[in-house]
Amino acid sequence: MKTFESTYLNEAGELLAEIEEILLNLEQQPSSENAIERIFRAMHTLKGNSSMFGFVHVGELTHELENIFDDIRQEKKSVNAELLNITLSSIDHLRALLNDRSLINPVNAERHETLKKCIFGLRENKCEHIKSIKHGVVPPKESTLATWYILFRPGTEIFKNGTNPLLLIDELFTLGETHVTAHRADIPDLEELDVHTCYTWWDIYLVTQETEQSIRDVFMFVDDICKIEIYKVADENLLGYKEFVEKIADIEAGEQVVDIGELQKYVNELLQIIRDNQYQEIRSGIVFTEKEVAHSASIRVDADKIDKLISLVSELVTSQAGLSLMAESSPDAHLLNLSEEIEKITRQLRDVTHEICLVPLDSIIIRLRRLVRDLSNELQKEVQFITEGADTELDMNMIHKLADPLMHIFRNAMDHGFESVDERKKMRKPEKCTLSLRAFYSGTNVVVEVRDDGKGIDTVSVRQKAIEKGLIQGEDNLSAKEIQNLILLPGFSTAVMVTDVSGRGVGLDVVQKKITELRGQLQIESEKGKGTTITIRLPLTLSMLDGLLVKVGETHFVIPLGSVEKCYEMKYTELDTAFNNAVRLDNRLIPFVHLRREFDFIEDVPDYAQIVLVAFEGKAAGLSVDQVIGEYQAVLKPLGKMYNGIDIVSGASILGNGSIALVLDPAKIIQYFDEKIQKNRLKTELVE
Amino acid sequence: MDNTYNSNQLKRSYLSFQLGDEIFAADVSKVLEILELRPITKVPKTPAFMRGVINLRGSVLPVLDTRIKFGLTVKEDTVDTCIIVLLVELDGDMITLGALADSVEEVLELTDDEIELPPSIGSKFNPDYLKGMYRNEDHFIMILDVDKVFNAGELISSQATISTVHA
Repeated sequence: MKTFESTYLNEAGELLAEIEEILLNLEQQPSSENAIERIFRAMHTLKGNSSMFGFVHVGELTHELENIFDDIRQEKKSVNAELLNITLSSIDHLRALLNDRSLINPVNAERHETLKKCIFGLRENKCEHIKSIKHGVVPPKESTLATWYILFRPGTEIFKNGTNPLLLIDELFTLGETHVTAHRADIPDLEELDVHTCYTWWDIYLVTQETEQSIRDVFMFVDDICKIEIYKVADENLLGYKEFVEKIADIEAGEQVVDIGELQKYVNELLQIIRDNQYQEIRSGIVFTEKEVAHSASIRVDADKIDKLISLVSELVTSQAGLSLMAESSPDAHLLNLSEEIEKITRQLRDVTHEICLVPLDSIIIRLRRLVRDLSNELQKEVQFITEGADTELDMNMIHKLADPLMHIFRNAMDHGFESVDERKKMRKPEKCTLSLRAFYSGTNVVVEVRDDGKGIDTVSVRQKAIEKGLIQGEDNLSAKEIQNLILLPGFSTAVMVTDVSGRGVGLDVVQKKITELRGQLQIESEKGKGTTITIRLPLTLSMLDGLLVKVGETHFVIPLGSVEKCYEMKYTELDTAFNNAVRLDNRLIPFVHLRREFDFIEDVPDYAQIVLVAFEGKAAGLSVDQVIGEYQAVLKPLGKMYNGIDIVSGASILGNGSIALVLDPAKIIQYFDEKIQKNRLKTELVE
Repeated sequence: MDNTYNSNQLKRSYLSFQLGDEIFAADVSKVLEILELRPITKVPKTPAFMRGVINLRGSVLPVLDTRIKFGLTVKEDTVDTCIIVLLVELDGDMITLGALADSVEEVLELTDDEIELPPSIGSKFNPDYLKGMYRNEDHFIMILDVDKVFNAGELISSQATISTVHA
């Protein structure tokens, strides 16, 4: 019973999210197709399920909502802002009820009553009729579909009045599903061809619920110079039948002119056969409706199972690398073949598994849209939210962890970024603010860009504030970009007035920290008066890392490729005698970290060291290693709880031969080293 | 029913192993497997008793040198040296880790009655780590409380000492 209940809770959560999404869409495009119908259906399912599992209050409230949407469906009522507000609040309330089904929490109980009253209020108020959204509530019914045959033979002179016949056909595409055949037999040889003459004509099959008149309207302006014949072939979607599509392909191949009478006869026979078959199928119980097929196209899987799958696959990748290594050194050709075969399959398996874990950004965008909507009401700023690349996919764990930072950025933009309406008017900006979220792939990264057209960052006041807070010194000379990035520092919040929305002392530094945890980068660009763009750059997956494989003593290390700038060779003795712990590389004096000395690998020091130049946030440092082996795609493994305190090593990876390479965190090494040098300096100063 | 009486008579299995010159034992329900010694990758900036990590069928297993932790003589590795993989509770989470042992001895079946309380004073070892002792002919076998041996507070304090020494 418990498992059924958790299935119910999962499904209820999804239904609520679906309703919420449709409502938000409905608000933006009141004429959006069959939205009401979908809401009604989702509510109906929710109501049924809830009553079945004893979530009485959920069922009751949903029932009331469903009644309202039923009225709308029957055009007794119309959609308005009040209705949307109440419905959205009810959705929030229903979510709360899923955890408090018996209304034990008095807050929930009170809200339940209030909402019920609101909904009754909505029902009473039946008199309003707004035609504007009327066409949004007409559900397209499967049964009204009809198949039309259209003969379109443009007059040869059609180009002369500036008409492109292809655009007319494109317009037909908007009416429904089409099948178009172009007849090009009349096109003469190139020498005789007159570019101003149209030689082509078309057979078009269109499946639509529109009337003959609306099809005819497409050709309204070319009626007089074209031959247009429109026939209704059947009262259903014939293009859904394989046989019919084959038949018209036959006609097409034969370059025959469609004889409408014959076609009609064929269609009648075909439909008869299909009906008989369907009858048979129903009788033998093997009928699959379209809905069922759609359901089996995706399945719900526990995230734990996927985690398990990933770890097994990465284990397989490692074992397989070991196998290849062995096969290559073995004289057995069969073994080599087999190992190559397995390598291929493993690679595919790995790629497919990684795809499984990818989730489109869509899933958090709904939350963001809701946030924008609620905040724009609260702050009385009219905001237009534009998304681009919502289908960009990211690792599911990453999406999860990205939601909070994004919400924070949005809140910031809404609260501090946008001016009030009056200010915008004064600045001659459009009254409606624009907030856009753009996501796209860039190499092995995913970039998420949040842009607002608000007032931008005022570098003067940021600088002032930073000095006040002691983050920088008065005489420090900073570039505009550096100043803008100051707002990422802990304890920085420029809002003069602490509002309910943001400015509670938790600033963008938290966002920065979260993004860094995801191995991502955060960038701010801003122009005063024009707006701010915050760019988040994230790795495609959390479980893989492109790195440089190096060796120090007997231990392999992986340095993330993103932070590696260049490699140099140098004698170890040069490092030992280096002054002030810095070496000259490309005419720059670079501090270095003697990894052998730091890690206590003092035996068997080779003659030469490789210096890997790493950079992080503008700071560069050289890491001395014995050997640079090459690029390496590392499957990341956590070191586990025992190593919680060790931050210069961020994880481990298993090499092809089964041994372990440690993944270094250059940022932490630089930081660790910085602190150490400063401590030393302090010490020497004290001694002096 | 006379449950208490029965439980004292109930036999439990313990795996005994050698560390330095002493014999220890751990409840077999805590032991997952015993591995041959293999190259261990040392993680830099960790205390000496944290010997490093190994690859256990694709996951990373930390390996500890209990001899260093208990202040016993560390012998050279031999063919008998092995890694005992244990399931340990660390701050409420179950984690697996490997403990080095000079050799694995045998599995003992003991009733609770056969296990004596550890002496609270004059013992070489911190009695907090021990569940009890068992007299086997001429010597004592110390039965470890595995969860306590690897408790986190201990690890943090040893790390802290290391870093202060370094600084």
